[in-house]
Parts: sequence; structure tokens; C-alpha cells
Amino acid sequence: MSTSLPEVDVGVAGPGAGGSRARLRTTAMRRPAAIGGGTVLGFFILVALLAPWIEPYGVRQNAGPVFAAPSASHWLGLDDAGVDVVSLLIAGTRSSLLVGFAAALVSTFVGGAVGIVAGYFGGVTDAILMRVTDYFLVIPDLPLMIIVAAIWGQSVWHIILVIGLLHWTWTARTIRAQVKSIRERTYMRRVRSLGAGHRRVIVHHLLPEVAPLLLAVGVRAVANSIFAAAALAFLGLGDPTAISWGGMIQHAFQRSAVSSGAWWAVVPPGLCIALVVVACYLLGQAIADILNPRTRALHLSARRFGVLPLSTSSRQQR
Amino acid sequence: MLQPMPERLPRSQRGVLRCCLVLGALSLALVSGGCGGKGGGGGNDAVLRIGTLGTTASLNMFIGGEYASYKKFYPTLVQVNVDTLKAEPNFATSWTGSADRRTWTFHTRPNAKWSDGRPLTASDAAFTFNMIARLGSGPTASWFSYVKDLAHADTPNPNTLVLHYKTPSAEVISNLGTDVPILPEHVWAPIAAGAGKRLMTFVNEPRKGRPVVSGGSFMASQHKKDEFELFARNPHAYARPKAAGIGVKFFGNPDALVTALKSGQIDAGYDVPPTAVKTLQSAGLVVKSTPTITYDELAVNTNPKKPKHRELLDPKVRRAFDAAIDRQAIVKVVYLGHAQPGASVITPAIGDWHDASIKAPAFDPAAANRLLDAAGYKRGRDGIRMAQGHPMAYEVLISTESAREFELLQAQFRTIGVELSSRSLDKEAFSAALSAPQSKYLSYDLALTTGGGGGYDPDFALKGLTCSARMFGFGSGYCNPAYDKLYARQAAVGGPERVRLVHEMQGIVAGDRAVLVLAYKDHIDSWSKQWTGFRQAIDGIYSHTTAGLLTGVERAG
Amino acid sequence: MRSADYVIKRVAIALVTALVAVTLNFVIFRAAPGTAVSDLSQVPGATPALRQSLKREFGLDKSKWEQYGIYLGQLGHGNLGRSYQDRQPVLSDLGAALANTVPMVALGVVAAIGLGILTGALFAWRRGTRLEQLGAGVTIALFALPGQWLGLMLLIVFADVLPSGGMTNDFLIDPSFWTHAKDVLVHMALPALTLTVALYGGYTLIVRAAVLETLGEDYILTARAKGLRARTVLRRYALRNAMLPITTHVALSLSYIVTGALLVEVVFSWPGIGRAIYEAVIARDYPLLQGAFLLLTLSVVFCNLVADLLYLKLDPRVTG
Repeated sequence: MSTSLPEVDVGVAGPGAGGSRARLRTTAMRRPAAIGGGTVLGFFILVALLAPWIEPYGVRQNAGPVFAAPSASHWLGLDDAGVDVVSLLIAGTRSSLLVGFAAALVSTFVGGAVGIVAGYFGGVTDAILMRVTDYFLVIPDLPLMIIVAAIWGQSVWHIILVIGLLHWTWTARTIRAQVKSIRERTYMRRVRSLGAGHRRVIVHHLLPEVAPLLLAVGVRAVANSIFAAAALAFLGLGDPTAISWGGMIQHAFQRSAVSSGAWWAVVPPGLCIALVVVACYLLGQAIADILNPRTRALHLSARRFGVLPLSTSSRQQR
Repeated sequence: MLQPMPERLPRSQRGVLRCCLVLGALSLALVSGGCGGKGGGGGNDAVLRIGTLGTTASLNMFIGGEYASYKKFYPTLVQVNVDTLKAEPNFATSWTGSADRRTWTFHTRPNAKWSDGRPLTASDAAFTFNMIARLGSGPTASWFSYVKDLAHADTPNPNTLVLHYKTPSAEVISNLGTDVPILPEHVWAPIAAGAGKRLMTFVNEPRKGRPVVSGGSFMASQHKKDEFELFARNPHAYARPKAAGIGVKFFGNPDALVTALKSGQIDAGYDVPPTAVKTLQSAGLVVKSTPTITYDELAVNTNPKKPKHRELLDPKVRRAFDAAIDRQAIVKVVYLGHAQPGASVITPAIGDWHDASIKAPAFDPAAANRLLDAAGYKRGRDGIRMAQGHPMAYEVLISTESAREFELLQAQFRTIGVELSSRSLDKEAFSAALSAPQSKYLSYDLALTTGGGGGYDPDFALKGLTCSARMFGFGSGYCNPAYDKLYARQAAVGGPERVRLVHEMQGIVAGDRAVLVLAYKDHIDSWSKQWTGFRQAIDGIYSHTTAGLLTGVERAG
Repeated sequence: MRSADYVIKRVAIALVTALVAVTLNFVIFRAAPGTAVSDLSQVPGATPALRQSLKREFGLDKSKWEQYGIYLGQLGHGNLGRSYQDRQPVLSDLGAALANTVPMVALGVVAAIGLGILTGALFAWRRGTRLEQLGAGVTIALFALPGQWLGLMLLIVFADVLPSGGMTNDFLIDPSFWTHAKDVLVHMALPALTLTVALYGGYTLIVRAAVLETLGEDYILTARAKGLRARTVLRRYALRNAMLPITTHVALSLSYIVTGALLVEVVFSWPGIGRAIYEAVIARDYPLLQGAFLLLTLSVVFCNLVADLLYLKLDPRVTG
């Protein structure tokens, strides 16, 4: 559950995935879920950017008794150190999104690179890279993250790296499938027969083609990363001095907020995580749908959700 | 995509169905097989149910660290009266020390028995102490410091134990006498044979309903790693407990403990968090706190060989740090009032040993700023002071649970132009980072940690501040030869002279300001009104500092 | 013959993955700073001699390659070392923990799959309706909730009704079999429910998608054209076909199940393998951590192999 969400199979996009940008715009208008997701995510990003200016109280400031109930001056009460929960949520938005986006960037980069190299070169390279990917796909990632975070020590950058380096498998598989199909297109063959180097083909012809797809998987990776960061923080392996949603839940848990009846210290951070995750999911879904012409064509039919297990699609391609 | 033909479908369906059935059956089998009824002892009604945090690893005292548990089922020579703080009889009924403090004689209880009916005599005690002394730094190393000066123990008759010491030893009663559990010789002698290697793997667990051979008021009759310990009344106990037994359940988090206490799943909570006090009181439970021997400290590395941040060796800097700390705020926010502002390394909890003349310095950031200004540490453009060409910005080693306390210190130090950042580590990594490199204590600057500990005798707390503690990677690296000289002397003298020396030692540490004592912590217990007779030691009702506290507990009415 | 090739290939891949896991496991742990020795030396009174003897005992004084050889040899004998915490063989400690984890997780997962199939199929069948839109919204919301948080929510709601932690009421001395079974089930309720709710959303979406997929197929059209009742078509054709991808997905979701179980066990103090990992991290009990991680990885690899082979049985056209 927590570190990975069911995955959308967008890797089977057939010919004609190009020119997707215009389609992106028009289809987005027709999909309220995408607009909703985008708005929510946009809202949180705005909050994160403006955090220092819109926090009503200091996040290290003892504003009253520990676990004080919500009141007119503190809408969501005070936490286990007597700090205003609304201010903490706002500050937490910043670090949670930072970890989410940065880790997603890492995983998209690694996954994209692996996927492009495997899909483009094929053969032994592909086989080896896919074996590695298979391994990372099956290992229980949270235990490994715990171990690595415990060994490396707990700074924000370590957390980002740990999450990013363990969550790239799905990206790699999706991108690989896409690259394979693009590779076989006539114009790609022509480009290569004209003697263009591998680097040139990848940078100038492949990358622009897979970029929108990378965006789609990247947005979903943000959700996964936020989930994983919250899980690590809950286990006491997050950055202890940063204020994050996962850390708020951990503090509340460690200092017995639940048995003290201080629901306001536990409920809001969890809801924020859920909101961002749903927003990323819907947005990623929308982008994926737009990119996958089959999904689009069968808009109201079977493939609307297009969710398929990975191994099904990969096996079909072998 | 897959398009299986309809004709074949029922088969696939059957496969999945079978798979589900197997899974279900498997889980049922495991529920039943994994947890069949287990044997135990004791009656049903009057078992006192205690809940606590943490874990329990082993009932073998050379492996685990469950000192409170060992004292329930193994006897000690004496125990501490928690009201008078004086020693009172346990297995030994009387004792005398020779004038030169080299010979200590104990008269033990006649006709005492182990739980298996075999006689419990002074020779069991002699065996235990001699074994630990013989194996030295081997498998029994964790107990060796108690007998390091012991020449040998002998038993002129089964009810008399004589301890012969190599050097004058003043603290035998309050250390070895109170702390070291006496083991049944007939069980442990074969295991301790030779180099005692088997001691480190011996499984000292109750088996098939047969309790561990026990000699205390209770016997260890059930043990589930990290979950549960059951101590049933020992039928052969010389101090018969009123309750039929004590069950101790280990909880993974405070919330679960407090909820269980509120809803009556347990009768008493040991070491409940300060945040739960109000909740428990309003739920009609008794909540009592007691001062402890542990304190929070901000340790400053003053090792003269330290390569970096040598301004920390300047006493003025440390005096400014001390004045910049708002101890009241720490007590209020971190402990919700269940602590006292701290000053000395021996807390007031153990009576006369504490030097009450050592007071916490006044919280005065203005004075701290003046001190640093006068010493020439000018503020840079960003408000952070400069020392020897670099900003006064330090990394503080903290453990995960002291994050809240660090946040307060960080804000307080910012007002005097000192920037603190933190590096959070768990237990093992923490001590490694503290003593790095190789127990030389050169690399750390500041550390937020817990000091003190031990029992009613200050020896353990004092020992942690000696130079030789460094060798074991123990403590925060404090080292002052003048202090060490006094430490060696106080071990040999007794009475008021020892008290005077211990006070003098506290004065030295306080003056050095390398260990800034932040707060004396309280320990909080809570119990249901249906039970009476609880007494709290400095570490609460389920004490590791003294035996015998729970023998008087019984169901009310 | 081609199916035999497929089996051999799958088994070979699983073996390679297992070997990678075994090696990586060694590398991760031996690259770790700090050893058991410094922890044990925290005991006042420990001497350099004792530390040295502990180093020898744990083989920490040999070269990395020798240590790797020893490690593989011991592994071959099923010896995962001794836990630093209680000095008992890791395998027996983990075995006990796993026996506690499996029933709780099985209950939660089976319930999640069952519910997921029911509602997923329903949503697919009623696509485009209000019910489906509402259902899709709820399921997406549910699977976006962090498991640890969900557990705490359930604790708040059920604090006074159900036990807040642990696996048994240990104070029931000498319970009869049925009393004991009931006790365990009551304790299992909240952690299993948390797991069910947390996993349910994901499974529903999978089932819904898989059923939608089959509903678009020609044979469904044929079946309907034959005049079969809608319900029959759904149950006998659409759902049965959808079982194939669903099975695979469940096998692949094992890694998330492990994650969920770990968090749930920490919240509810469930004495399983997840909590053992959590405690071992705090105590830096490397042998136990190493053993637990290896055990989990190997079981996930094994389950995936089973799913692969099951696939062959379900659909013979799938060949290497």
C-alpha cells in the first residue's frame, strides 16, 4: 500500500503519440478530474512557496499549552509542543513537497535513463537492465529504505536519494516500452540510416517523444515519494528537524496524541497527504490517458482506466 | 492484450478459487498452530497487570538488560528502603564491615529455598560473585565493575558470606549488595565452567510450564520476547508477595499503553509519558511522579586535543551557553512540568549525595551576549558570531527522542548569535559519533544526551564522568584529573567524608561547564484505584534500582 | 516443449534474482558503519579484550571476501547468525515473528481482495453511472490514505471497544484453545482492518480496469447476443477472465503488502516481522535486520515465481 500505487499502463501507446501537446490542452478541458487534481496540486505548491509569509504563528513558537483544543485563534489547535497546527501544516507543505518532487525527479531521471538505454539499445543491454529492474521491482522497498536511512543517517538529502533510488522501476519499464515502439517507426529508422550517432538520436529524436510520458509518470512518482517519506518519518527515520506531514504524525503518535484525544494533531497532516496524493494521481492519470490514443478513443468504454499489471504488458512484448 | 477463450475459463476460475481456499486454510492453521495454549503458573484473579514501553530480550542477565526483571526472580543481598534511602534486609538479614573496609560479612537467611526446592544458601551468593570476578572482562563483563576489587568470597558456614577485598571498599552494600542478582549455583555452575562461553548463549527461559529456577519473591514463569513477562508468586519465597503474580506487558508505543490503561486492559502503567497525565487523571487513575537520578545534558566537547572549533575550550563561551539556556521552557514544553531545572550531575533524588548549593544559572541572554561581546566574538553580517575566523555554528548530536528539546535550544542559542544544527542518531550510532574517532572524543562539538543513571548510590553516575570512562566509549568524554583523584578517594572512604568528596566532585563538574545539566527528569507511574500498596523507587514501581517494591501490592477491598 | 523452456527460464530468473538479493544483502550490511561491538562496549566495564573476543565471535576481524565466504556457507546451512539482542538464532526469532505476521496479513489481504473483486466488478458493470463515479472517487481517496495514519484513525474510533495493541491478552493465564483463538482474532481486528482498507482501494481499481477490459471483448458481445443474463455474463465471462491479470497484480503487490504490514505492526505493537525490523533498526541488530530483509526478499521472489508458473497454467499461450 503505502509506497506504491497501482500503476497505469501507458507504455503501449501505439503510433501517433506525437503532437500530444495540443491534445493535452484540449482534453484537459474536458476532464474535470484533471482540472481538480491540477488545482489542488497548484494550491499546495502555492502554499509551499509562500509558507514563511502565510504562517500565522512561528513553527518553533510555543503558542500555548500542549495539545490545546482548536479555538478562534488556533483553528486546528496546538500540537505536542504547544505549536500552532495550522502553521505546522503550512511549513510541512514545503518540506513534504520538496521531498516529493526531488525524489520524483531522481526516480524519473534514473528510470528514464534506464528505460531509454534499455529500449533503444535492446539486446544484452536490455536484458541486463531489465533483470536489475526486476530485482528492484520485487524487493520490499520500505524495509530496504529503513535500513539504508538508518545506515546513512537522516538528512533530507539522504531521504530524497533513498526514495528516488528505490522507486524508479516502474518509470523504467514504462519508458522502455514506449522507446521500443518509437524506435521501430519509419522516420527513426531513416534518421539512423542517415548516420546519426546514438547520442544525437536519443537527445534530438527520442527524448522529445518520451518527454510528455516522463511528465505523466513523474507526477505519479511525486505521490509515491510523499507516501514513502511519510512512512519513513513515521518510523522515526525522517529528518528530525524538518517539519513535515509525516513527522507531524510521528510526533503525535510518539507523544500519545491519540489517547489524549488530540485528534487535531493527527488528522490534518494525514488528510493533506491524501489530498496531494489524489491530486497527483488524477493529474498523472489524465496525462496518461491523453497520451494513450487507445484510451482516448475508447473514452467511455473498457479502457477508460487502463490499469493493467506490469507483467501482463511486458510479457506481451517479449 | 490477453483474450483467453471463454471455454477455458472455468479452469482458471477453479485455480484461483483453490488458491484462495489454501490461503484461508493456511491462515487458520497458523492462528491455531502458532499460538496453542501455553503453560503458566499463578492464580487467575490477583495477578497485577503492568504495562510498560520498550522491549524484553532475555532473562539471562549476561545477555539482556532487563535489570528490573532479574530483581523480581533472583534475590539480592540487600534492598533499599525507598523512604529512608537506607539498606534493609533481603537475602542477607544483617551485615558488618571491618574497620579497614576490606572485609564484609553477611548473615543470610537460614532455610531459604530456590523455587525448585533446592536450598538457597550463602554459597550461591559466593559462587555468583566469584564467577563474575573470575571471568573478568569475559562474558560477564557487564557486571564486572561490581567485583573488580573483590579478592574472593567465601562461606565459613552455609548462612554466612564473607567478601574479602583487595582495597578498602566503602560502597559494597549500596552497589554489589543492592544490585547484583544471586544465581542458583546448581543451574549456572556447569554453564560458567571454563571460559564461560555458554553464558552468552544460555537460554534462561521458562519451558513447558516449568519456571526459571528462581529465588526472589516471584519466579519467572512466562517470557515472550518483546511482549510479555509473567512472574508468579514463588512458593518458597522468604518474602511472600501479596499478589499472586505480576504480569508485565511491553507496548510498542505510548498511545497503546495509555489506551490500555484507560480501558482497564492493564492495572498499572510504568513510565507513562507526561502528555498522558491529564488524560489518565480524568479517567480516574492514580498518577504519581517521582524525581529520578537521570538528567538531560548538553555536553560540550572540551577535549584539549580537539582539532576544530577550539573556541569551545574557552570557559567564557561555555558560561555564555549556560546563561542562554531557558531551563524553565524545557521543563514546561518537553516535560509539561514533570521535571525540574537542572544544575548538578547528581540529582536531588538520592538525598544527601546531591549538593544543593549548586544552582541552575539564571536564564539571561543579555548577560550571555555581553560575555561573548567582551570576549571578542563579534557578530557577522548574518548575526552569527565569528570565532577564530569561522562562524560559531555547531552540529549537535541528538537522539531521535530529543528532537523537541533541540528545537528549544536552537531558538535560544540563536538569540546569542550561535547557530545550532542537529544530527539525529539512534543509540548505537550516537555513541559511535560521540566517541569518534576510536574512543578519542575528538570530532564532536555538542551533544544533547541523558546523563546520570544507576541506583541510590552515586557511584555509577560519578564513574561516567571519569577519564577512564572514555576508554569504554561511555559518557560524553568529560575528563578532569582533579575529579578523577577525588573519585578514587571517595571509593575507599565511607560516611560523611564520602558525602563531602562527592559534593566537591559535583562542584568541579559544575565549574567546568562541559556538562550543562538542563533538567532533572521525573518518572511517572499510574495505576488503577483497585490496587493498593504501590511504592515508587527513584525509577518507579517496576524498579531496577531496588528489589522488593511490589511485594506489598494487593487488590483493594 | 516451449512451455518447458518457459518454466526453466522463469526458474532461472528467480534464482538469479535470489542470488543478487543474497549478495546485495551482504554488501549493504558490511558497508554499514558501526558493528555490534561498539554497542556491547556501551556496557560499563567492557574492556578492549572483550571487544576483541566479540569481534572474533562475529567474524568481524576477517577480510570482506572471507566474510562473504563464511556468510554464504552459513546461509547454505540455514544459519542466519545470532541476534545481537537476545543471542538466539536469527532464524528461530524470525520464524516466530513470521508466524505472527502471516495470519494477520492474510486476513487483511484476503478481505481486501474479496471486497475489491466485488466492488470493482460492480463499478465496471455500472460504468458511467452515478454509483460508479461515487465509487471511483471513494476508492481513489481510500488508497491515498497513508496506512499508519489510517491505523491511528481506527485507534481513535475503536479505542474503547477493541484492544489497542499486541496480539493476545497475555494475562489470560492458561486459556483454552477457543478462548485463545477468540482473543487473537479480537486483537487482530484493528490491524487487519487497517490493512484491508489501505489495500482495498488499489485492488478495486485493478479489478475494475481488468473487468472493463474484458467487457470490451468480442466474446462478451457474443455471450450477450446469445441472450444470456447480464449477471451471468459478468460472473461467468468477464470476471473469470479478469482473474488472470488480477492474480498477477496481487503477486506483484506483495512488496506494498510488506510495507503496509510493517507500518500496521508498528502502530498496533503486533509482534510480527515488521515490528522485529523496527526494533532491530533501533538496536542496530544487524544479523536480525539482514535475516529479515533476506527472508522477505526471497519470499517475494518466490511468490512471483509462483505467479509466473500459475500464469502458464491459466494461459498456455504465454511462453518465453
